[in-house]
Amino acid sequence: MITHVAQADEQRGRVVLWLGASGEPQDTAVEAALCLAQAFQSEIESLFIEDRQLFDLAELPFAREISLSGRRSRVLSANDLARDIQSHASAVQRRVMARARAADVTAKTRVVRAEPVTALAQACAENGPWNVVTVGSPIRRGVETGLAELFEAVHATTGIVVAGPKARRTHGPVIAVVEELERVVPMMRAAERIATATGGDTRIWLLVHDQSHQDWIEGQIRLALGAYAAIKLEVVDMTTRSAQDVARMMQREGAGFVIARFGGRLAPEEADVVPLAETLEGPLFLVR
Amino acid sequence: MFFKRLTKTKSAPAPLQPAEDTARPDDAIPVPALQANSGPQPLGASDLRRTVDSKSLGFKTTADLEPAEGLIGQDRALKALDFGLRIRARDFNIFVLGPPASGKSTAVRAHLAKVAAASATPSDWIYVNNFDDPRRPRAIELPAGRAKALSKGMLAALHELAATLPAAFDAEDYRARRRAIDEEFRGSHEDALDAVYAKAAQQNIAVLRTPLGFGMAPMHEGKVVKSEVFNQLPESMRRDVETRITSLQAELERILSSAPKADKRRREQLAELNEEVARHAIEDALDELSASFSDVAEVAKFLADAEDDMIANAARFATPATEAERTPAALAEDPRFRRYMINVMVSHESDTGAPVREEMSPTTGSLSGYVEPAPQSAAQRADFLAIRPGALHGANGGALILDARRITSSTAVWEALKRALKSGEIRIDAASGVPGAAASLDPDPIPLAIKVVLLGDADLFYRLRQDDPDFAGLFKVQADFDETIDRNKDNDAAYARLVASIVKRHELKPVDAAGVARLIEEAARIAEDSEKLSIEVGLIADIVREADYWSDSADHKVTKAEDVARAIEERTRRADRARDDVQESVERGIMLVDTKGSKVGQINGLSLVQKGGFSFGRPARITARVHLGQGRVTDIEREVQLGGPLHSKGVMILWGYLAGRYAQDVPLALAATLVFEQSYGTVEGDSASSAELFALLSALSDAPVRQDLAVTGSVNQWGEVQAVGGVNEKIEGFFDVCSARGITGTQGVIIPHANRQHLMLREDVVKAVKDGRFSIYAIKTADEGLALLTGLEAGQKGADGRFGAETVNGRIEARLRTFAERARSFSIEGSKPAS
Repeated sequence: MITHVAQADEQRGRVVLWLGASGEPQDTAVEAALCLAQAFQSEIESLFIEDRQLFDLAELPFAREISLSGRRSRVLSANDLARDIQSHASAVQRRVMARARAADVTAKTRVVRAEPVTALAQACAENGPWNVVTVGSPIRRGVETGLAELFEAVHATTGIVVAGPKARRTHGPVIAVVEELERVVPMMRAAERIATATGGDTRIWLLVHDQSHQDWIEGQIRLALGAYAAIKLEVVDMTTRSAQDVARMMQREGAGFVIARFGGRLAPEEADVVPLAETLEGPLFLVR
Repeated sequence: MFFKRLTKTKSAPAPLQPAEDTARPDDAIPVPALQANSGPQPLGASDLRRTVDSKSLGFKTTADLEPAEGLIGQDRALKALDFGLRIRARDFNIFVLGPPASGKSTAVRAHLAKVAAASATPSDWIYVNNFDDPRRPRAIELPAGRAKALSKGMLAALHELAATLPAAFDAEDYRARRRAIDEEFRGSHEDALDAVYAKAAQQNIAVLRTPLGFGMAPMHEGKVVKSEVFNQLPESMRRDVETRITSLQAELERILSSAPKADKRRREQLAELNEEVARHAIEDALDELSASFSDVAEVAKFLADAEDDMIANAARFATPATEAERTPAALAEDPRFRRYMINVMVSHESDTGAPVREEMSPTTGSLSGYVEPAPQSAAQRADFLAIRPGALHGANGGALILDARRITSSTAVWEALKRALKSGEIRIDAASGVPGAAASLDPDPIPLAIKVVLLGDADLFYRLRQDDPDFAGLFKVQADFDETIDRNKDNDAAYARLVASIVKRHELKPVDAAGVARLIEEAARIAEDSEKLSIEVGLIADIVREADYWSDSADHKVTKAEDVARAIEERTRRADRARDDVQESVERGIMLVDTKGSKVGQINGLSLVQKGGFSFGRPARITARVHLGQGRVTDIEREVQLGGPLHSKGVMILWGYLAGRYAQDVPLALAATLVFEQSYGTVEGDSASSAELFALLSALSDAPVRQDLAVTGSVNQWGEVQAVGGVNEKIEGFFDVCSARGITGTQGVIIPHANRQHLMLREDVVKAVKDGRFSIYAIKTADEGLALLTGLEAGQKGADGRFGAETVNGRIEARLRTFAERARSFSIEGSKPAS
C-alpha cells in the first residue's frame, strides 16, 4: 500500500477536497483535509462537483424538491437548481479558502458539473499519482458515497478520508490499524506525519485474527518499531471482537485520525465503513 | 486722677452762641474750671480684667491632669445629642449648631463613638442576582458579620464547580449516556429515512440531495433516468413511477417534518441528563454553604434559586476552566459564574457596636451608592455586582455625620438625603452620580435606620427651618453648642483639663498653671466677657500650639504664661497691619482726633474695625451742628448711604430723646447735622449713638466736650446708656492713640455700665489705669455722660417742670425754646397778608 501524499513542490498530487451540492460540508472533513495538507506539506484542491444526476432529475416533468424541514416542496427546474448550486458552491468555497488561509495551506478551488467519480478521477489524474480524496459530506447510511467505485476508478489516489456525522475532532491519538507486517512501517510513518499536524501521539493497533500467528507478528512489529520507542503498539484480538467493537474502543480512547486499509478486516467494504465512521469522533483515512 | 478735679460747685453756664453758629469745633476750648458733680467714678484696675490665680488651680502643670474628653460645659447640647441618638424614630435626626472651631465636631464624634460602641451591631447587607429579573437585583439582610462568610463560601463553591462540573460532563458515564440519547434520536430518525431510502431503492427510485432539500427520480442501473428516456416510456409506466415517487415524497416529508419534535424530545432528554449530572456536583458544592445559612431564610432561598439556576444552565459549565480562570477575579469576569456571586454592600464585625461614618464631601453617589458603569468595550451590562455602597449604607444602623453647609449646597445631594430619610430606605438611583451608569438597573431598596447628624451653624439652621419645609420634620433635634461657658472655679478647672487634652492630642509640652491661667484669661477675652470663657477649642488649641513653639524657642521645659502671652502677642502682631496703618494716620495728623482740650459739638466716638478674624478699635471724630429748623436731625452717613439701618435707627432715637426730654410743650424747631468725620466706609451699629447724642447736646448747650475722653455706648429714648460689643478693643484703640501721643493722665473712655462685666482689657491698659494714667468710666445715663464730658451739672427738672438754667439741660431747654419762639415769629410774619 502507499500512503504517500505528494508535497507541494512535487507537482505530483495533492489533497482533493470533494464538495457537493448535498448540504454543508462537514467541519471535521475540511479540518482533516487541512491537517493532511499541513502534515504532508501539500496543497488542497477544493473541488465542487455539481452532480449531473441532479440536473437529470430537474429535467424530469414531475421533478419536485422537498425542503429539509419537510414542510415545503416546490417544482424543481434546472434553472432553479443551477442558481441554488451556484450560490451554494460560492459560499462553500469561500469558507474553505478562508480556513485554508488561516491554516497557512495553499488551496485552489474548482467547480465542475459531472459524475462525481469521473470528476474526481479526472482531477486526480491531472495532478499526479499521489492524491488523497477527502469526502466533504458526512458519510452515512442510505447515502452511498461509492467508496469501492472511487477506489476502483480513481487510480491516482492513495486513499480516501471520510468522516461520520458525529465526527468532531482531528486532535487526539492517531491510530494506524494494521493487519499485515508489510504495512506497518508505511502506515506508521503516515500516522507520525499526521500526528505532527494534529498534536496527538501515534499508536499502532494490530488486529489479529489468528492466535497462533499473533506472537510472531507482534514480535516482528516490535522489532520494526524498535527505532520508534514513542509509538505504542496495541494488539487487538479480532477473534472475539467485531469491527464495531474496535470502533467503540477507538472512540473511548478519544482517537483523532484513524488510518485503516479499505478492504481489510476493519473496513472490508463501503457498507462496513459507514457504521465505523458513524461511531468514530474523528476522520477515517482509508488507504488502499 | 481726673475725677478728682470735679467738684460739686456749680459753675456759671458758658455764654450761649448765636443759633446759626453754635458749634466751633475748630476752636479748642480749655477744660472748664467749673466742675459738675460727683458723677460716675472711674473703674478700679481690678474691674478691668478678671485674672486667674494660678495657685488656685491646684496643679503644677497639665501633666498632673486627666485630659478632658469631649467638650466641657455643653451639657445641654450633649443631652440633646444623646436624646436624638437614642430615640427610636427616623425623623429625629440631629442638627448640631455651634460656631466654627468650637470643637463641636470632635465632641460629636467622641460622643457618637461612645453611644455607638454600646449599641447593637446592625445587620450586614448584600446584593445578589435576581434570577427572575436581573434588572432588579435583590437586597438581602444577614446577621452582622456573616455577609463576608457567605461571599467567601460562594466563591469557594464556584471555584470547585468550575472544576467539578466540566469533569462531570467529560466523564465517560455522561458521554456514554449522551451518546445513547443521540443515537436513539438519530437512530429513530435515520432509521425512518433509511426505510424510505430502502423502499425507494427497491422501487428503483433515487433519493438525491440538493442544496436546499431532497429530490426523487427514477433510477436505472444506479443512475437517474434521463428525461428523454423517461418520456419514451409508456404512459402507464410513467404514471406508475410518478405515483410511487409522489407517495415516497409524502413519506419523506412526514419524516422530515417530524424531526423537530423528535429533536425536541432529544433535547429534553439531554436536559434531564444534564440536570441529573449537574445536580449531583452542584449539590455537593453548595450543601455545606446552604446548611451554614439555613437560619437566614432569604439567603437559603437565594442559594436554592442559585442551585436551580445552575442546574438549569448546567451545560454552560461543560467547558473546563484553568486554575487561572478560577480565581475570584476571573470568576467575577466569567458570565457563567458572575451571576451567582455575592456583592457585599456592608459588613460589620459582630459585637462591634453601631457604625459611625462621616461623609464630608458628599455627592449623590457617595451618599446613596451608585452603579458603576460597565466598560465601554464590555459586552456585558452593569449588573448587581456593579452596585457600590454609599455613606448611608455604611452608617445604616448607626449614625452619619455630615457637614450641613456642604450637603445643602447641592440641591441634588440634599434632596437625595431627605428622600432617603423620609422614605426610610436607601434607593440607588442607577442613573445618578456616575456618567454612563446603567439606568436600567433597579436594585431593591435597603431599609434605612439611621441618625443623621448635621454639623452647622445657627445661621444655616434657622435659614433651613425657614426655607425648607422638610427640614423641621426631619431634623427634630437641635443640639445647640454654646460659644461660651460660665466662668467659675469648676469651669476653670475643667478648662485646665481641656488644655491638658489639647496638649495630649498634639503631643505638646505640658503647660504650667500660670500658663493655663493666662489661657483662661485669654478665653474670657475672646468671649468678650469677664464672666464667660470662650470654648472655641480650635482657637485655644492654636494658641497652645503656638505657645509651645515659643516655649521651645525660649528653651522652656514647660509652656509658661510668658509663652502664652508671646503667642497671643505674636498672633496679634501678624494680623494687625491694618491697625498700625490707622494708628499711624492718627499720629501723623492725617486722621483728625483730638486727645486733649474741649470743643463744642465735637466728640471722640469709638468704632470697631474688623479685618478678617482680627478686630480693633479706633477713635472717630463725631461732630454736630444745630440751627433753626423744622425738626429734623440729618444723619449725613445715612444721607450718603454710608449709614447702616442700625446706625440710622440710633440717630432717630436721639430725636425721640430730644423731643421727650426738652420739648414737651414747645415745637422742636431744630435742625441738626451729625457726621462721622473722615469716615469713608459704611458705619453700622448703634454703639456710637451716645457719642452722637453728646455731640448734639454739646452743640445745643454750647458746652464744650472734653476731647481727652472717648465714648462708646448706645442710648435709648429715655436717655439710658446701653451695652455695646467690642468694648475691650474700643478702649484699647483709644488708649493706643493716647499712648502714641503721650498719656496726659486725664484721658479715658466712657463705656456703658452694662459693659463692665465684659471688660477683659490688655494688661498694659490695666496697668495704666492702676497707675492713674488712664481712666474708664461706666455710665448708666446720658446725664452722667454729659456731666463727665462737659464738667457741668447735667441738671434735673424742678417742680415747675423746667431744668435749672445753669445746668447743661437747662441751657438746651432754653436754646430749644428760643428756636421755637423764632420759628413762631417767622410763622406769624409769614402769615400776615401783604400790604
